[in-house]
Amino acid sequence: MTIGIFEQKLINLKNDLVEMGQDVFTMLKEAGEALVAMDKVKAKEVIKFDREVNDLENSVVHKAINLIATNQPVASDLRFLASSLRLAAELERIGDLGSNIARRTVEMAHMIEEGEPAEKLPENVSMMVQKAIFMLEMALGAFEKGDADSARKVIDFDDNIDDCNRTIRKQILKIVNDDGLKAKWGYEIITLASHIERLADHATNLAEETVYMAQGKTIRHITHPSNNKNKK
Amino acid sequence: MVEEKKEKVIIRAKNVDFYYGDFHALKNISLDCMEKEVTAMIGPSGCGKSTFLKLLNRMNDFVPGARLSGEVTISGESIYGPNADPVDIRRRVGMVFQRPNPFPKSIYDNITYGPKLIGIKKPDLDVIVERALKAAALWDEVKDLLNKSALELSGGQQQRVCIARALALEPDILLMDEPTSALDPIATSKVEEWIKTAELSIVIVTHNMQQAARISDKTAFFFLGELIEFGPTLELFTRPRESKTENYITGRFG
Repeated sequence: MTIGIFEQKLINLKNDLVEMGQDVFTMLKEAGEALVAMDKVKAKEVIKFDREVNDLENSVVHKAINLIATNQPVASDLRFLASSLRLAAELERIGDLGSNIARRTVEMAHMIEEGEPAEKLPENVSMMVQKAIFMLEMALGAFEKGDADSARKVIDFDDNIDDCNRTIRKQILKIVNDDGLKAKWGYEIITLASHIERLADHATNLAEETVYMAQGKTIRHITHPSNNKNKK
Repeated sequence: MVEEKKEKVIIRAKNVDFYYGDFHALKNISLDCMEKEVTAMIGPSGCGKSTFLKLLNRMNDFVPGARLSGEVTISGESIYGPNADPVDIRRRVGMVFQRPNPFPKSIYDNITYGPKLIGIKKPDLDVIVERALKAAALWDEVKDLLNKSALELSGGQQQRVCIARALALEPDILLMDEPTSALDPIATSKVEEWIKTAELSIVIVTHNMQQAARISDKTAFFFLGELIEFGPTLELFTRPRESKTENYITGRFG
């Protein structure tokens, strides 16, 4: 069966989103590596790359709006196009967080160079960033395959990241309590953990969007584990 | 206390099979249309949607070799039973066709044609004309031109004269067979606006899926004489249950 022009354009748009996802994933992976190695040079490259992700978002949004305006899509086509607008925004936000993580890395590396009071990067922060990147990889894979079951596993994993964030906050507050001179370093680590936690939230949003796209079920604001916690 | 909206079935088709000679045009169709709702019928040409529509006011009675099995009721009464009167049924179930077909008479005479046949006289006729034209959203445009020939009106106005002519008999149901396919976008939007605000039980056949999505409460998808899917329009157009529906409405049929 031949593929129609509209269908081909949908495939192209999906490829654009997959490519944007791969770029964002690479950006986050490199931001994570730069953090663990306290590599200022690599971190600065990550910051520069954010602009390209922003351009990709504009391109995806422009194409999706054109397809909606000219084809009046319905059913799975409509769900995909509506989702593509949100997915592009989520990916762009993840790119911003990658950039934020890299900025914190630059700042902490600078502190170490200047001999300011600091400790080495806590092991659980390295673990947390690896877990969040793994979540992002799972979410992107689920989107590419249109696999709602895998997407739901990503959503379940978000609890784990939230727990990491809480543990790190407590641990850093204790260190800063014991040694007030490490307050600036503590602030950087807590901010960093917040960025990673937000990254995992956006990976969760990607997964929720995949469930909507694949099954037409809106689970956003219903299944998000962090929402349930907020209500407690 | 919130008052619960009670849906009332106005049209019920139960296990309906319909044949044109040897051709099995409708296969075991069961479907309920609710009072004061707009029900849209979609599907490719030859799928049976217009055949189904014509069953509802016994327009297929005139087709040689046509036969029906199963049951069709309107407000609980069988319209194919021994006591059913086709003339009375067609008074209660009005119809508007694809192309505007006003009589070559004045606007006034078009609207009063049916009421006169059942013995209604002036001044009641004047009241009926005003009410029907207002209901069809045409009164403001033609109130000073009632003696003008309906054929001199624009296509959209002619179609609304036909709607008003059908409404003059105060039908319980209005059947519409692709009522805007011969109209330009402005005339189409006026007819669609009327349909959306009519507060009448309407069954509409349309090839324009966006139109079905815009104006109907429920949509039925027919294919090869079978009712593939029937349900709330919003659901059918955002997450259809059946893959055949999905393929048809997204244009990937075949």
